[in-house]
Amino acid sequence: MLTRIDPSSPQPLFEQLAASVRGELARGALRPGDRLPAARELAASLDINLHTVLKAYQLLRDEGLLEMRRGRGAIVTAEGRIDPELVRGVRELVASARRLGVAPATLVALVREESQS
Amino acid sequence: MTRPSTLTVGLAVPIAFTVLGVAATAVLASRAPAEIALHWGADGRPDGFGAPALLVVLVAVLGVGLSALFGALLVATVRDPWSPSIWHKILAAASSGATALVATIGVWTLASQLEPGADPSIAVGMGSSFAAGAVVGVVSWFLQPRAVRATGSATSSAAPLELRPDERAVWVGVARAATPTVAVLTLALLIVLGLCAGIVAFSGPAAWPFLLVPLLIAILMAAFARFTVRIDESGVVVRGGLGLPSWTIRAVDVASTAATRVEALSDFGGWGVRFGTGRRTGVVTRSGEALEIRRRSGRALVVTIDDAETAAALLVAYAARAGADPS
Repeated sequence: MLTRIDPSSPQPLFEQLAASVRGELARGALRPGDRLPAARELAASLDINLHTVLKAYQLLRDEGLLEMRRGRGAIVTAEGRIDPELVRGVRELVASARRLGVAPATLVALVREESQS
Repeated sequence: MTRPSTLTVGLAVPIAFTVLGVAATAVLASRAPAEIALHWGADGRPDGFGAPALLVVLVAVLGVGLSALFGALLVATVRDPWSPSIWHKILAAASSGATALVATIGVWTLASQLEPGADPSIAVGMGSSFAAGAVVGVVSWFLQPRAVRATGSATSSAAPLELRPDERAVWVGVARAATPTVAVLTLALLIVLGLCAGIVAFSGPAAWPFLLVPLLIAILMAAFARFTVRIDESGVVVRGGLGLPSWTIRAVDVASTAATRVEALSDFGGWGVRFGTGRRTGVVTRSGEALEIRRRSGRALVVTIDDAETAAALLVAYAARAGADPS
């Protein structure tokens, strides 16, 4: 599993970390049942705060992609399988939004509205 | 004349000796006295007696067991049975020799005691049986095709992962044994445990140190069946299931890194922590994708792991960063 963060980016670190894990799920490098590295170990390796890693894990748990088990760490759930087809679809959507000059915030709002209807 | 493949030799010879051994011992057992010597003490005198049919069972069980164990290992790991590695040839020859040894012991034990009151020399029996096993093993070796050399080290380094100046990344992976391997190892452990418990049960409590054997095997399995690999800015850490053994290579000490492929038997002569050609140390839990890290000292560490391409790309990037800014 590859995770990457860029402290010079305006996006919060925990969101970058969560996005990184989602990317690994989409790439198939992380599969349901796989265990993520211990938050403490990941925090030390990335030289960031332990709570930043925990916050990222919690975000992914709230999305249903991870399951937190006491003593066993974070495990990828069955819902954690992100189909590459979906990733391609999102990429195309973002590309067309960019082409049409739609702001990212507007695009996110449109997607949220669509998925809640 | 074309030579038979390693698979043919490794399967046909053991099966043939097992079938012959069972048939011969069955015929001899029907003509032997009702009770014969089956076990000899350290002083060379018989100290265990029983029915001759027990030898037929012994040859059948050991012969089938050895043929199946070695045969399964061969079938599961040999890539091309017409160009085998030296280790696959040894495996096929060892299986042939061992089954020939078992069959000869069974036949000799019965044949030497067909006359009531016979007192055969166990030294002669064992000597001739081991000689027969050795001859069959050597002949089986030379029946097989020539051994091919292992695939060898990776030649080039991977392309570096693109990292922005402030960006940090970490790659974490687990090298674990394949499920069939774990199943076979667990089964072997249970058999050893059963045998050792049996020895203690029959020989009395003084034989308790035999129970240390399965314990030792269990500890080794826990230590060597699973390794974690972590690559970050400081370099790479490979650690076994019990924390030991472990290897740490600093990013500045990395000369090159590449994804490669490993055939456990051909490249390293088996599984676990092994030494291979080209100054390579292997951490081998299975065959397949592997990460090869060459140190500046020339020695290399090879770990069988999935997604080795990404791991290699990240380590190359960090090695370059560490080389540009040695701090």
